[in-house]
Amino acid sequence: MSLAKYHDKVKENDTVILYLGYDNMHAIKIKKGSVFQTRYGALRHNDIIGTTYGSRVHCPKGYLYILYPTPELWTSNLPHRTQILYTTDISVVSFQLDLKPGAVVVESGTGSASLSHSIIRSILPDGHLYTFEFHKERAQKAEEEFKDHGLSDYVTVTHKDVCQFGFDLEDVADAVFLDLPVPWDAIPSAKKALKKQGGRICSFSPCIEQVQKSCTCFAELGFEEISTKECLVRNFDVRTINLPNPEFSRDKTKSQPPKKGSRFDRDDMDAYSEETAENSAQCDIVESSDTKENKTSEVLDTPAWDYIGRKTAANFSFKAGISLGRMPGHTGYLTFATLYPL
Amino acid sequence: MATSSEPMCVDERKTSNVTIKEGDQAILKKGKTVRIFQIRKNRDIWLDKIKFSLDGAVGHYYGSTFVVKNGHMHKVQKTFKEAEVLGPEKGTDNRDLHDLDSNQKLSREDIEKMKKEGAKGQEIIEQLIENSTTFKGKTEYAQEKWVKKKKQKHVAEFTVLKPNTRLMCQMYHEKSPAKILNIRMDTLAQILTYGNVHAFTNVAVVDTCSGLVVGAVLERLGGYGKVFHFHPGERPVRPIVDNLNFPQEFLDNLYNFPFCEINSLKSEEGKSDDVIDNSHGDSVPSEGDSLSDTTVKQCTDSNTETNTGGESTESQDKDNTDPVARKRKAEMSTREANKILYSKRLSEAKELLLKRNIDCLIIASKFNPTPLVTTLIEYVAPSRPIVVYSQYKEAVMDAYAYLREIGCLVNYRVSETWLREYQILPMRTHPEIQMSAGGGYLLTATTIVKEQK
Repeated sequence: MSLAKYHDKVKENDTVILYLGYDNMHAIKIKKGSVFQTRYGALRHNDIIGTTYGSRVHCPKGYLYILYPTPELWTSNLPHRTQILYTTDISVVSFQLDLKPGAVVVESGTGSASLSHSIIRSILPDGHLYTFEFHKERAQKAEEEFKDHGLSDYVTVTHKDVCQFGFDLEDVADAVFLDLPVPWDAIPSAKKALKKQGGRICSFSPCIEQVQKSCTCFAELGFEEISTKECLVRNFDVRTINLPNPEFSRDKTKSQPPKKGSRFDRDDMDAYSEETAENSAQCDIVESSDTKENKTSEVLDTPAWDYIGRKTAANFSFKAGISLGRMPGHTGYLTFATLYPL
Repeated sequence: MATSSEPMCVDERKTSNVTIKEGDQAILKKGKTVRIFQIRKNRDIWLDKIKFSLDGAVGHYYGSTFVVKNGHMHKVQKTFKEAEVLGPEKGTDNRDLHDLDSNQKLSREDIEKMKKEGAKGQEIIEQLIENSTTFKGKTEYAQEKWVKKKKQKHVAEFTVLKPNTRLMCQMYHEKSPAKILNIRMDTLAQILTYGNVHAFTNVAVVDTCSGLVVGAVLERLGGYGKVFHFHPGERPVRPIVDNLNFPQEFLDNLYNFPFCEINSLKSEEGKSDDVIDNSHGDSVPSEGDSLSDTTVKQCTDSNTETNTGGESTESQDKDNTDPVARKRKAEMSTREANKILYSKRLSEAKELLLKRNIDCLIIASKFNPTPLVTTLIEYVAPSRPIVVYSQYKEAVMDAYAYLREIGCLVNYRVSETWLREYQILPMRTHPEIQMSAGGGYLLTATTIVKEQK
């Protein structure tokens, strides 16, 4: 199989993404005779082989979807050997390093190869990734994964400590990416690895002190346009909200109390679910039930199209994108710089 | 599915575009000012109130730095660093410093005179420092900041860069964000990544952002794979694609698809391609149009053909030295040739779309995304990503709601990204004082095999 090119049907040894529902996915490698246990029961690999990607597959207690592994789906579901870069940062890195087919990229450390998969996808078929990892087993695991995913032709994994020994590459790279605890130890060697016609570099560091030292190092070595950014993602939960109108007197004839047992009375926002199990598919659009209720209540003086939502005597209903609870507040600082030709 | 034409061999592609050539689109960057020009010899341009010709750039590497002297560009080494002009004297704080014009002894005329006499940037700054009564009383940091400001004002040094998506996005976002629907670089970055845009994919793009998204997609495809640009009107408006200067092979894989043809696409299922039926008079582009970038090239070839053909038959009927009649005839044959080519390309596009194996659908337009995505999703293969962009969360939520009703997607996500830049300096590190208030919203999802209900 290959992350490099889509193909239609599931084959043995493919890595597939099982989609069970919102925030519920698994990456599995297809092997004849294997069984994968899910909350909907057992999933036999044999049943998946030969199906079209995107198909629904039934299990004893529900169903799931077989999705083609993109680097993004892989990032969300890969086995972590280290802390990884997520798609938000990966996107910015790929964009700021001007990645495209034919680009040659140097990376250290490989880690769990989350970013590596994305880089390879963006630079194939005529680009190449040289990735360096100082942990022997992690380097080996990354190499195996690239092989499993049909990407070996586009990547060279080297087990090496580049901070101590350098990249040993000269005038080859269009872009360098560093995710190291001590990046300034590798920056001089990174500069050498970049092409004489110039290139881009990125250093990812969680701590501001590391960023300060890296920027000083970049400036001393003649890099320009040194820029540090941070990018965070905020997801929205789309749901219809009913805000009941308050009662201003004891006289209850004017307005109706809010609908009892409404999903939206609950504080529990986890009620929102995209679960694909047959019994719990829930739709966010409650137009039908609202209409039934409001036929009896007095519709207020509103035009057919209300300003934001729908108002009745009892409620103000509207569709909202909600961000509640927590969101990622920090992953790392991304420092980019350009090396211009002399 | 037809395979894309063989792209240029790798080495050729790498070396041919690192040096500045006449005819290239080039970006001139001076500090924060980023402008794009076409390199044409003996033609003056204006940048930051300075007039000069671009001839001096030709032959140098992209990324080279130049100064302007007497209206011409001269390559220079890197610009001097602020620290190089600072002396040992500095103050501790600004309690005794007064902000007066008279602090600087040099007048504007003095400075202009120095520039005319060919003084180097560093010399001018050193002179300004010497003639400043307050400079030595400033703190080291204040001195650095002051020098940086003077450099920006008086030193006409700039870099020539090859246009790419990153620089075009930056340029437009700073200067005319409305033209790109306020797509910020991190949002565009997410679009490309979540769409899994890469070589060998076929991407359908609805783009009314001056071609920024189409250009970004073409760049990521690298010539492998096809792009279908859905656009309003008869002709797509995509100056950014022109600025990006793609080789012809890339552009040969770019198909235009006017909105007004979408209904005919839907009704054409099962029919074989019909070139004549498509060329209804009202959908014919006029001469010299940038509809498909292959139009101009091909039309020139067929133009010469029809011209020679036309003239030989004309000689009996008309006085063929009459320039007006000849021109009109030439225009008509160009229009005919264009018309035929246009229809041919459109048919090709329809045929390809009807195979229903689009690998990625991206919507980034000023129109209501819902009808676009619900209509075009039909042509996307199963287990493929779609990305809908809007400046407005409500539009994205609406598309989301309708798609959920149709039920042909899973793995939905409505999101926005937050971007902040930092000033990193010793003892002066903090986030930048100003930041972007918003970069737009995205809906991403993955298609599935639609179950027959």
